[in-house]
Order: sequence, then structure tokens, then C-alpha cells
Amino acid sequence: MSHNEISQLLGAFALDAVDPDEAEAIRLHLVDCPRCAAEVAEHWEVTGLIANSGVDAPPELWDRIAARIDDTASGERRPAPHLTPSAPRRDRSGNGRRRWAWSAVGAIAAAAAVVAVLLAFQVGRLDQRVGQLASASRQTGINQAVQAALLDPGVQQVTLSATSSISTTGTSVPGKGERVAVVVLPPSGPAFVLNTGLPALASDRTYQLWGLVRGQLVSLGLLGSEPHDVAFTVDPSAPIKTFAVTNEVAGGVVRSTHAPVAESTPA
Amino acid sequence: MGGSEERHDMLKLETASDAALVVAIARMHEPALAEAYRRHGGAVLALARRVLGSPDLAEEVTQEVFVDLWDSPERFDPGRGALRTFLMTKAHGRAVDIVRSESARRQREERTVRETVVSGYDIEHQAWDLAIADQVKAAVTSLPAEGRTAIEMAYFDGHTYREVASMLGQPEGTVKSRIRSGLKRLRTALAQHGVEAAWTEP
Repeated sequence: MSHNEISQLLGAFALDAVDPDEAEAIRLHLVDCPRCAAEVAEHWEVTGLIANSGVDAPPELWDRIAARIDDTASGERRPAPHLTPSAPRRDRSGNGRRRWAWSAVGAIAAAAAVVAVLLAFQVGRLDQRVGQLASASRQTGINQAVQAALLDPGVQQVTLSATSSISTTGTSVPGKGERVAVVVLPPSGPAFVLNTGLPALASDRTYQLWGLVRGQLVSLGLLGSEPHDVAFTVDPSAPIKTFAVTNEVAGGVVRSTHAPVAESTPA
Repeated sequence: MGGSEERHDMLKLETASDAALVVAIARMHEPALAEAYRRHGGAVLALARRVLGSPDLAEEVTQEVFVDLWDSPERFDPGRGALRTFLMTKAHGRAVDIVRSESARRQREERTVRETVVSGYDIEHQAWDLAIADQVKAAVTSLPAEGRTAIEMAYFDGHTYREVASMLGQPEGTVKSRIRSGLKRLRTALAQHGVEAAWTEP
């Protein structure tokens, strides 16, 4: 089936209302077609809503579920969960490949040119959005510190979405508004940036993270040309709610003259 | 791993996000699964019952869905949607498999005849969530009847779009495009009514 034929079937597919051979062809197609995959996800959201009901979950059925998982737990122990990678973080190794350059963090006020585009911001409680972080953690093998942050009910997060400026960045470019990074801010301890969609840059370029502190944009550090998740420290007395990412020459800049390729958006 | 055990103790399950629950489930923290069940088990059970028409089979499907979440929490990708959507989708797929199996065929045919005759059900009656029922109802009501009927027959009765086409005496292409455009319209209407598939139930 062609993309066109498949796309016409996506509604029926989301309702489990296609034939098995069609379903198989569509599933294969979805692996390679983010657009169709996104449409199916949207249909599923809708069906989840219309099928929703306020019926309470019967406690006795939970007892049966609990009995079944106790059976499996006493049998063979599952392999270590995917969410708990044990490998040490490359970024913390301190060798020449360390991606996070500790600039004079928080000290240097930067580019008013960037401030102008940073009006919209909002920090959301982790609620639904933590999910995206957990998702990112699977992809990037993030360490237990991030998981601890995710489990903290007081954690806050900021989603960074692509701006139209990202279109000059590389070959595989996220669309405007697409979530490309997430900042995780636990109530104490280090904060984290998780790359969820920033495309790789040429090796002579770097992403640079900025935060709005007391009305001024300061550099929070460099993310490298192929960002991984990284930790950074924040001053608890001056919480940062607005973040931006720019595309700079390797080595970073004190003041950016570029519009951000990503900026925080309302949660 | 003593640290992570402590972390579980500190995790307030009733205020944790769904995704935080799944992280805890991946660490075999059973109370997290219990909380996920408390939040979403009722909706999963109601959907399975609606499709299967059998309380026993519906409970079986609900058990399977939550045991699967326990065994394979990594299959839930929080970046792709809400936990409830994921669980409902799994439950629906499983329920439809059962409905289409040979053993259930006769029962299902009887049920279909009964419901087609009565014709007194529709999506509106499925939307009972106290917080959003009115908005969902308004969105569903705004849908053209033919798209609504096709979606109901496919989703709640487990018919394929080909079966729906044959039952309604309409071309297959018409039915599949009505289903698709109906879902898109519903999404738009739901958004206009301020409903999102984000389940913030504490």
C-alpha cells in the first residue's frame, strides 16, 4: 500500500477496524512515517476520551491482578528495567570530550536581542509532562540522578520548543513548535537538560543554553554539537523559568546575536 | 539499590504523575501499579465490557492489560500519549481480538442484531467522566450522524470498516474516510471544548 492508501486507513486502524494484513502493513509504515504515527496517536487520544467513563476500578479485580504479578515475580526476576541504566555518565568523565563547558555560569548577562523573543514561558508542574522526560531517559541512557528527579513530586520542568530559526540548523530538522529539549528542575540538587530532538550540528558549531535570571539572559553553558543530557547547577535564590537554546560557533559566545533555535513554551 | 527503595518510600503515589508511576512500576514497585489501576482500571474495564458485552471477559482483559504493564512497562512511551490512552488502546485491541475469535462469533452476532434493532446507544452514553462528560458530549453531538455511527460500530462493537460498510450498505471507501474525518472532527471539537487527553486525576 502507498502512503496515501495507508493514510486513508489510519482512522479505521486506530479503531482496530482494519483487516489483519492491512494492520500489519500499517504498523510497518508507521515505523518510518512520523506523520502517520502522529495521526494515529491523535486518533487514539480521541478514542480514549470518548470511551472514558467514570466507573470506579473494582478493588476485588485488583486483588486478582496482584495475585498474578506475585506469581510472575516469584518465578524469574525480570532483567533490569530499561529505565535504570547503570553505565557511568560519559559527560561527567572529565576528559577532553566533556560536553558541558562550565562558563562563568550565571555571571554574564547576555544578548538583549535574545530577550525579545523570550516572552512566552511557563513552568509546569511535572504532571503529565514527566512522561516525556521518562521517554527521553530511555533514549539517552540517563543516569539515576535524573530518575530521582523525575520521581520527586516537587520537580518542575520546562519544555523547549523549536522556533522557526531551527530550520537553518541541519538536514533533519524538527518543525516549528516541536519539543526538542526538556529542562528538569528538582527542588534541590542539579538541574538537567534532556535533548529530545535537537538535530546534530556541524562540528564547528555548538548549542548554547541560556536562562533568564533576574531579567537578564545568562549563559548556562554549552551543549555541544550533538547534545546529550547534561546536568547544570542553578541558584535556588534566583529560579530560572525561561530558557532558550542558540546555535553558536564552537566555544560559545558571551552575547548571542542569533535568535534562539528553541525556547521555553507554556507547559 | 537501597537508595532507590528509599526513593519509592518517599514517592507519594497519589500525587505522582502517571509517568512517574510507570518509572516506579519498572522498578517492580507494586503499589505504583495499584495506583495506576486505581486511576485507570475503571475506564479500561468499562471499555472492555462495552466491546465484549461480557463482564467476565472484560475483567480478564483488564487483568491482562495491567499484568502486561507490570511485565513490560517500557512499552509505554510517555512521549506518545497519556497512560490512560495507552491502556485503553491495549484493552481495545485485546477485546477486539476476542470478539473476532470464532468462539465469540455467535454471541456477537446476536448482540449486534439486538443493538442495531434497539439503536438506543451511542457514544454519548459512554462519556461519563464527571469532569469532562459535558464537553465530550457536546463534541460528540456536533459530529455528523453517519460518521458517528460508523465510529460506534467499529469501535464499540469491534466491526472492521468493511463489515460496517456492508452492514450500512455503503462503499468501503466512504466508511473508512468517514471514520477518519469523524475522528479528526471530534478531536477539533474536543479541543474547542477545552478537553485534552491529559489525565490529571490526582
